Amino acid sequence: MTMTLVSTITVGSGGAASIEFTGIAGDGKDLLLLISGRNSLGNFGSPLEINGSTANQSGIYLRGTGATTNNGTSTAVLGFINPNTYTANTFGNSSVYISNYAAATAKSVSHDGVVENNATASYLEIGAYLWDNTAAITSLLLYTFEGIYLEHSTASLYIIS
Amino acid sequence: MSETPVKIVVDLSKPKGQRESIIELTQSEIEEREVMAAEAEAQRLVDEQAKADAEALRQSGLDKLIALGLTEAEAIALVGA
Repeated sequence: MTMTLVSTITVGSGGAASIEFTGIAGDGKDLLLLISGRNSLGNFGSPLEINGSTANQSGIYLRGTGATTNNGTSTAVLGFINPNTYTANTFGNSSVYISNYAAATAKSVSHDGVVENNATASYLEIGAYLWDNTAAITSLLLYTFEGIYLEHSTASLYIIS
Repeated sequence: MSETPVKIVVDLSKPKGQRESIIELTQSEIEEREVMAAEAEAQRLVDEQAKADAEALRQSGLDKLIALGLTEAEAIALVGA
């Protein structure tokens, strides 16, 4: 197995509303997306568009909130980044692993994520998802529900072959 | 920060050094984000209300157990911290 870093993006001083990787070559087996981020507002969700859409995504998650646990279903893969209300200068981390991204089958996706906060309220999550589409994945776009990715947020894309 | 939000696009089909573009969002993209922000805020209010409801239920249960004669420590041991 070979794990190749394709690209790392570091958000600059102006922030960014989204980070997109396009033109992903189909010569690998799996994709790994690593995110370290902080939102300019109070939201910790960072959804993922695959080939320009969040359609055909579904999944389940298990979440710890710092005080309790819960679980549920989701219609979109959700990366975790720190809201700006959390401890200063901390970032949330997430990984998203997509199997058989170039195969003509539905794609299974797993993810885990944590946010950092020096308080009771904090979150970690693991999730299992399906992208029910047989097209090869050629683009991935991370965005925020509100606010923007703050400076020093990063996203790295690896191809596993 | 920039007045107009930007998006970062990395076109991996291009040679290294030419891949990254920083593009200002269009007005329709900004409006789409405003809709998402409103939806996120609505969801946050729902979540906060659910959390408050759960805490109120927990406290109500604790109060009833204490009224039955349990100590607060015993009631918390049953209900959870």
